[in-house]
Amino acid sequence: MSDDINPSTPAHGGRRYQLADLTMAAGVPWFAVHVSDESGHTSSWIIRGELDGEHLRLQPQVWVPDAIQAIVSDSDGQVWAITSEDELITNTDLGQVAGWRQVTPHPQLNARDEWYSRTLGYVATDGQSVELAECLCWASDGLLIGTFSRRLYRWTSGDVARLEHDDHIVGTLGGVNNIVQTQDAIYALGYAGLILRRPVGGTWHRIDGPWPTEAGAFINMIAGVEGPRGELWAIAAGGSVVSVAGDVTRTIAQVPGEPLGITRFQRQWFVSTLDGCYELPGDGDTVLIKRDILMGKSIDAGNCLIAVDAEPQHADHAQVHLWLRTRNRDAWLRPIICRA
Amino acid sequence: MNSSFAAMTLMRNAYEAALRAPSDAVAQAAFVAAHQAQQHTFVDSFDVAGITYPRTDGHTLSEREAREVISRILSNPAYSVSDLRPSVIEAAYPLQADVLRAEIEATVARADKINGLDWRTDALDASTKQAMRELLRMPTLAGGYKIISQVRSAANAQVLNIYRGYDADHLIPDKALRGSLHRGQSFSLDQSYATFMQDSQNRGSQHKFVTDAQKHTRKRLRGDPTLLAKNPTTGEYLEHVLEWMTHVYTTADLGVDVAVRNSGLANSDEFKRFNVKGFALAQAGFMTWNERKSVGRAVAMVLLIEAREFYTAAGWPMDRELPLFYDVPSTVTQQPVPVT
Repeated sequence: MSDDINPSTPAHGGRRYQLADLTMAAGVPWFAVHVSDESGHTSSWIIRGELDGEHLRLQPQVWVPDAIQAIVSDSDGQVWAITSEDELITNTDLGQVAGWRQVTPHPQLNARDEWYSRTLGYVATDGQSVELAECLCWASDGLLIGTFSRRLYRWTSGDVARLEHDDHIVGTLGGVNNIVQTQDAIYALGYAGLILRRPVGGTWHRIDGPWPTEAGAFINMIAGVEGPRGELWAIAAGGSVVSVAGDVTRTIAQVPGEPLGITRFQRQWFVSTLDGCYELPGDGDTVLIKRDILMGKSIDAGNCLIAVDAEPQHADHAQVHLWLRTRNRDAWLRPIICRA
Repeated sequence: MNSSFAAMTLMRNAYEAALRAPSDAVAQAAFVAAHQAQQHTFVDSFDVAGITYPRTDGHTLSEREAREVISRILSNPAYSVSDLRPSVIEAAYPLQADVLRAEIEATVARADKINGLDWRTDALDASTKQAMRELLRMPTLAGGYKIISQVRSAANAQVLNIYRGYDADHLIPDKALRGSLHRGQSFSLDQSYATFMQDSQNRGSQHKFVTDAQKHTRKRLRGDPTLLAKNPTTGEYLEHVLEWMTHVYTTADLGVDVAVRNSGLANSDEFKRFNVKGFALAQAGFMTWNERKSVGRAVAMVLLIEAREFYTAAGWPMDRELPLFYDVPSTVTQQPVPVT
């Protein structure tokens, strides 16, 4: 038989691109893209985007030798990313600050931002621990890092991030998926039914979700966003949309698809799922906006909504869905972020 | 009997009536109307020995998927009610009488027995292996149409190739065994067994979970990066694999695996539109969480025992060193700039 179904046969000389994360900074979208080389090693690109009419202008900025786990912006519009090997990377000008190294500029790129990096350690009460970063969020008191062991760390400066909250339970896997800031609190969402809340000036405490105790360990909270009245709206694997106001949680809608993202966009709320895009009018209903596209995490980019394309047309493409909605245009586009 | 089961009964009666009288427009319309009215009604709890157990989102996947496909069929004028297989109606609208406690309890009893084994030394008898496979109806074969047709025709499925992994019938990705983070097969529709997900993105998805579980395990096994790396044995590594596989099988959405149309899956187009592909543990959705955990672990255990037997037979014993770290380059070269 000549049928070769060997799944490890790589395409295009073995180099493949995959979108890892996206964020808004200084009014434009930024993308972290993984590139897997012939040997299977994953490194990453940070790519800046800018919408010009219907065309997404893309500008590769910097290459880093490991997998970027998350990318966010701070209140100054600067970009921060963290890798699986605990490198913190930013385009903030930290050239004069001890401990930061300038990332070697790529020889084929010129006139780009200067990027700096340093290696972080994770320090808990009993010393250094091995952690895999999952998500980031800039709060007023520093950079919050959620990890695969369901711990939260906070970094302000120097080479260590310190333990903020520990939800790790031996034998329960799955990490923190998202950290969300609302006007009066910060929330951390994750596996094992994790909903943590830290009110302004307060401390972290766990909030019970609207499910029976027995089910808690198996619930997976994926992402959240601030709702219309300052509460948190969060999505859980399976499709529940949960509202968290103070310590009160309730299920406010059920999306008929596997949800992966939730975002506010032009004063409406949307859940992106593997079946398409749904609007949450807030009355318990869900309204199908776009059918049969596979959407991952989505962000509000002003006159467009940008979501990860969970099924790009080719294996070596990193692609997004882009919903452009302006006064005179309403269109769904599918730009390619990069390819081999 | 709770009221949602009553709604299911109504639905099934409407189906019977429509099926009996294919030319009766009233009966046909009544079924369509009933489907529209009930498609968001789910059985939200079930009783076991007098105790009421709630169902959660992950439990209702099979109903949601099957109903979605019924809607798709009904919205197409080329098809009618008689095109639907009875099995898809049964999956979409389960009855109280369909909940086979005896079957579930037998499954859990078998699972508990399996969980008492030591995967590194114990063997399984053929009937247990077969029973678990029946239970599983594995998603590896429920992938893209192309893969399935290739696998069907591939006579070389048993050819030993350690780097290909223990072929399609289990969920330890071959790359996971090598500790590589570069998994093929899940990039695009044509390649995947989980057609919709990429590995690097989609926080909260099983793929991202498995990817991060591997990264995390690798980091923990690596230990202090300033010291010389020591590779684990294959057995030591698989000990970790067992943990994340247990998690995957316990929390996987439970869906049935049914063909929707009587004509079967005639071509790839039909397949994409009308196949409900599933990951079906017995009586999907009517097990308690603790029962699911027991069964999930047993599935992982069986697959791991089979993998061990396969690798041992292929001349790769469990005490052999797994080359996790040998290929880490000490110097990095920048990747070429991608095409944007």
